[in-house]
Amino acid sequence: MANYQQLSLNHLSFTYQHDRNPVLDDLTVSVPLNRIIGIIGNHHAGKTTLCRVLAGIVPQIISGKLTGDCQIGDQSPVRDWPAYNQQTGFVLQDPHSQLSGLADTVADEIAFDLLNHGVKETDIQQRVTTVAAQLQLTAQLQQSPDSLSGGQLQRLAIATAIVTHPNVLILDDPTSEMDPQGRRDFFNWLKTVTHTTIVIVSNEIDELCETADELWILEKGHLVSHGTPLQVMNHLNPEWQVTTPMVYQLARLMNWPLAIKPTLFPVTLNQLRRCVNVNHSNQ
Amino acid sequence: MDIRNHSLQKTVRLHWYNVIDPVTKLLLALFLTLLSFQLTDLYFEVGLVLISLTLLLLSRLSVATLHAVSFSLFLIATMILIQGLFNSHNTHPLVTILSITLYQEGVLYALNMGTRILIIIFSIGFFMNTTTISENATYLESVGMPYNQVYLLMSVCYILPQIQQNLNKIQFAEKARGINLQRTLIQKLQSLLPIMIPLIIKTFDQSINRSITLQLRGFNSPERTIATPMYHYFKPKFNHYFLVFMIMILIGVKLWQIISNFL
Repeated sequence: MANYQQLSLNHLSFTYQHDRNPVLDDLTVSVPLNRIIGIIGNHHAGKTTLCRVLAGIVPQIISGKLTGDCQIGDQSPVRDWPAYNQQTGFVLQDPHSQLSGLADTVADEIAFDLLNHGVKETDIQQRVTTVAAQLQLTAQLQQSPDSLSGGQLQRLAIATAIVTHPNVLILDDPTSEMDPQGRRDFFNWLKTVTHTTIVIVSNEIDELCETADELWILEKGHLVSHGTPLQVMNHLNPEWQVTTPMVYQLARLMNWPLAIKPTLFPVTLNQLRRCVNVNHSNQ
Repeated sequence: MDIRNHSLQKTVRLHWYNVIDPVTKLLLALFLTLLSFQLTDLYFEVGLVLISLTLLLLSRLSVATLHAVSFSLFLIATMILIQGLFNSHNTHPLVTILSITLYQEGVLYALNMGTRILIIIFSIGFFMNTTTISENATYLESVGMPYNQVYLLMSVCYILPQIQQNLNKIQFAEKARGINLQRTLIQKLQSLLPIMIPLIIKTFDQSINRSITLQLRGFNSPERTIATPMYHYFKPKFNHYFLVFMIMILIGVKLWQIISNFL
């Protein structure tokens, strides 16, 4: 019997049309809803394609051969796409492509999604203001989207995705053009989001380990590891060539394992702090 | 703070051309163009050039329009030279410079063609400079055009500026690396040729991505709230009917002239 309280992939494979090799190969995993799932992997691992499957872009808009099943809560991006799409926010890798091109100002660009969802004009104003404040775009509301920097454009792309209060938020490398402060602010904001299942592809392994509840590692279309950041980072295969967080590298160097599980090394600052305290009290 | 409703009027001063709706501007451009093709008298043509130039000067002049005008003036000068020298109806000499004679018939023909080109550029320039793509989209939707058709129309309008934008980026990057100096026209053309195909592919790729995004953002949702126009336009329906009527008359006259040639 299907569990409607989780995101589950069941033997999911996908091959693009005119391609021979599958980009995603036999992915099976399940995670409870309303968690943050971080996806990592090297080039051509299938991260963007997995995001596209989760958003329903493939096979609804980009065609190809999809086998297996993908279920998010009681809906499937494959079977009930129009209804599912209403509850999903998606941020593309290239923030320029996220823009409608039909808005003169940042405020109008954010409001575009709300107009599409049939939200009343009186509510639109309030929701646009709130989202702009969350993503530090208030000063840019009256500017043209074309005048924004790369980082601001990425924040705008995120704003357009979250303004409709989606149940599922899929973020494909949303911080690639942000400066370090902007990146930190974004991940701090991400921690505050509730009642939303978030799937995020990112190369920011330190922030991802701090934020994500679950990490998935993709390697040439295969899901080679999944679990909490602590589990995943402590059981890496060198062949996957995945970078480890600074905290983990430092802890290994200093030989500061977790007190409760001495075989594992910390991957977050909080875990590291506890290890350091234990080590100090032992000395 | 009113951040969205008629946001443009709040931040930017209203101009006279803001009270003319986009369709009226487009019909006006079409009317002036058709009228220029209907008229044969050079004085009337010059009058039309002045009218369309006044419209353009009283609106916003963009660099793109100035480029288009300077390029068309170069074309017109070339036309005058070629027609003045080689038009098959040349009989009456107009001026002789260094034993080269320009003839009246050819020069008049070229001037007639030139004024038409200028009228088209000035009137379309007036439309382009005073109307944004979003204003067009909002207006068309508000008058009952289905949004997906509006978007299709706007996407077509978008392709050329997008190609221009991508071209500028590539050329800027090339110049920054010192490999595209573009000192002469030949160098400019030579630098353009190798990047034409990637440029077009990139632009289409962006268009596909944009269409994916729009579907994800639910632009064709049946629940969509119809956008309200950005400005309060002056008698749009009357203007449309009047201009369409005038255009129909011009087309009718032209058709009658063609038919009467066969009678």
